[in-house]
Amino acid sequence: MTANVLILCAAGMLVTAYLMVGQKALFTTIRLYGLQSFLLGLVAATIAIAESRHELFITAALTVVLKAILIPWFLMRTVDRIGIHREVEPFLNVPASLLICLGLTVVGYRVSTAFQEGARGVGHHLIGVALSLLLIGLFMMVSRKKAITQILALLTVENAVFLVAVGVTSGMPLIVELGISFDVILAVLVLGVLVQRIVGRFESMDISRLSKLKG
Amino acid sequence: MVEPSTGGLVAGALPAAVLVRLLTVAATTALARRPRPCRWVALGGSMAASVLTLTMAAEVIVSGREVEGVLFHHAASGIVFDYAVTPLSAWFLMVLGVVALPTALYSAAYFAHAVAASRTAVVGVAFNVLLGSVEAVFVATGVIVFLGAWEVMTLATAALVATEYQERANRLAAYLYLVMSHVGTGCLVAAFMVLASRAGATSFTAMLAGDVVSGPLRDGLFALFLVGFGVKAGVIPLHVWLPEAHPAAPSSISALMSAVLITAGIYGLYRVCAFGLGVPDERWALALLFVGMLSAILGVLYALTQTDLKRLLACSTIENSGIVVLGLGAGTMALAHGHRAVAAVAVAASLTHVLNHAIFKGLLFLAAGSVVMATGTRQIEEFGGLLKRMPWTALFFFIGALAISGLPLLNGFPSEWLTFQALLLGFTATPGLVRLNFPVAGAMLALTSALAAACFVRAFGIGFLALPRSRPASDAHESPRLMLVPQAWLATLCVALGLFPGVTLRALETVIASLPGLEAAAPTAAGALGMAPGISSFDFVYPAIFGVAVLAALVVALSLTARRGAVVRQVPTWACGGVLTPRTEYTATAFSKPLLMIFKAIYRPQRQVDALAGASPYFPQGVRYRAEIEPTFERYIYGPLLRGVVRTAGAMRVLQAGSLHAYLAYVLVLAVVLLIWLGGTP
Repeated sequence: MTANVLILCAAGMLVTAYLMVGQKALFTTIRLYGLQSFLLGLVAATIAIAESRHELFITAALTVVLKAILIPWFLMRTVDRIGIHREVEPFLNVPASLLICLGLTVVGYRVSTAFQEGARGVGHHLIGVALSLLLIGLFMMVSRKKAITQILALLTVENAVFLVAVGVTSGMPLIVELGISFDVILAVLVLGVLVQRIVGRFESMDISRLSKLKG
Repeated sequence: MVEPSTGGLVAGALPAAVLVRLLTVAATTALARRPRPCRWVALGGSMAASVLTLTMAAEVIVSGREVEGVLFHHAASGIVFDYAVTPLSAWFLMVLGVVALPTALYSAAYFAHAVAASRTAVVGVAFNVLLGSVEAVFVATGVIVFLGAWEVMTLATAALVATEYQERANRLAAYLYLVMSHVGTGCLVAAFMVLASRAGATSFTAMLAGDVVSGPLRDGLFALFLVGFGVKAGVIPLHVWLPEAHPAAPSSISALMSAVLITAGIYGLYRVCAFGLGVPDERWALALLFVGMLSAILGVLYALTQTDLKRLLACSTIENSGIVVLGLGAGTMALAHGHRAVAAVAVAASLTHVLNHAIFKGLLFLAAGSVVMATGTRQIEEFGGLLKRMPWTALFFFIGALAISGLPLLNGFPSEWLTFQALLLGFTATPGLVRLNFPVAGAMLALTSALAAACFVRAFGIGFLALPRSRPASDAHESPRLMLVPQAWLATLCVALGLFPGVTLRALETVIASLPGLEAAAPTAAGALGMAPGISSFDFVYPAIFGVAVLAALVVALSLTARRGAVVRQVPTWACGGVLTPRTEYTATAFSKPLLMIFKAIYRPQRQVDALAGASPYFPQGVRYRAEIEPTFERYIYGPLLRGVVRTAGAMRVLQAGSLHAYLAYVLVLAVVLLIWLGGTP
């Protein structure tokens, strides 16, 4: 039962990542990230129940509150405030992007078998999904132009790392979790400010224009 | 292994010297707005520090005992700066101190004229940093400190070369120097890293034990070290920076560069190439011999055609560096064949020449600085008649010129004579065809000495004799006494070490005893008066006795002429009925012309004569004459190399697109490739 829930949640996270890659509307992408983070929270909660480790509930609650609610809200507010086109502008078209993500997922799953915990069972799926998420996040960073999508990609990578940490090692010490959570909040805040600055300077959120700064 | 001494007065000398240098740098910086006290503090502090290091070096050389200690120890980070003054280090420290001391005194007066007041502090600090870093190079016990000091030394020198940065030529010289040095340092870093990883330690005692590497890897490391240290030593074909950088720096700095910087390269060749990688290979010795020969002969040939006095001296530095490397090459060849006594003679010759060259080249650069200051130009063609106007400077330059030409009674002679002896002994000591290198090297060395004599006859004759060729030369005045005293000191050393070469060789005994593989007590000194290689019984020279004989003959001749009561008439020089003007004088270019023609194959001279047409082609308004020799190495080695580098760099710019997405894509691709490559197998 626990295993099935875990696999379902992990698969859900992967699906949200795919949807983020395939999605053109900016707001929907942010909401998808929220959903992904909610599923991550669910993973943490499930493990907390199954192994009766109560400190993991705090982790789950933190994840849901911060990443599923607070950060999406903040990002949407930023988008609203700077009033930009609410469309994602990828370098590659959607089918090609999805194909590449498929390849990255294969790599992620293949590599996960190299770990002792990832050879079979739940661990296999958790590590496979995490590695795939990580690579897809990196790919999103490469293929998107807008600074907001770059932030979302970074957060996706962070989710992937978190998933491995929670799923495989049954959670990090609470203090580390808290530290990471605050790191994420700070990063998002700083990046949000940075985005507003970029827009103010270039009248666009397109970071490919940053190359004009080169001497 | 000799017992290292850790106590006594001497042990504190080096930390004290470092402290003095640091305080001097601080005080110089603080006094930046007041040039006069700033200059005195900087150079006075430098002299105090040099005295301290000289004392210690002398103590180590005399006693033959290493001095070790810790300069700085930071327990938390594990950073330790320790030092060890081996007899070899002490020898190079002594060479440094002997030149640095008078140079600092000279600079105290010279910088007042040669360096802008606003730059005094910068030059003063760089002067101290340069000397301090060279000292650190000589006493470093580990590769980290060594390379750090090596880089600081390079940067300080570059700053000094660019002292007069307003002139484009000087900036270019500093840039060229930096580029060449960094190529060299790159080679050193690579080679030291391999050596350190093999030895599992970064201390020299472990890395240079001699048994760390073997086979082709050892040969490769030798080649890297040869290039790395060769750049600093200024040997051909790595010399291109030297004739540019030396003239660009203020003259007293040029003296330091010739005497000190070159020496640092030589120290590296000794410490690592010859005595750090185990018993040398025959091919290494051949490489050293060849590089030495090439540098000696081409260096002096280039010097011969220069009309810029300081460029001439710089080219002659290449030559002398070549002679030192030649001696080292002979030594390594003997070592490779197991002739320890012959090797000891060659090494003694080479190390003696390091000292002697530092002294006479320092002297010549200081005298040249006086001349340049008095006339405002470096062109020999514009000097002339300086003997009457600057008698003391002329005398000191004359002594330096005699010494560098290798004439007996002066200190150039003993080292060149010993080098010849080493080459002759090497011929008898090595088997097979390899031995043929020795007579060839000997012939080259003989030719080099002769050409060096011609070169300095030209420099002195054109520069100091006859009539002034230009207004500045006829208005020249003798330098202040403060600039003459250091020259007098170096000139005295030239004469003293020339008359008593045994002193140098006696001092070298402990140095030679400390080097692995050499005959511990090669009797190279025959008392304080003379010298002998000590292997065959009939080779010996007593310059002092010869000197006394010459002096006696002179006295006899003078007293004979005086007794005859000859009448001395003073009349103008006979000029075939014409009038003697500066335009009738022999020029420096004309002086070297016959030699230029003899060595046409090497120089490939190009000249261009344009007659400025007047009313008739038979009566031109004037003639423009332009002559140059082909810069072989610059054109055929460095030109293509430079173009290749620029082309490659241009091609690599594509990677560096400036696009964030491209960089992120590199990361992604690398991550995926690494994951597949390293993580694919359980």
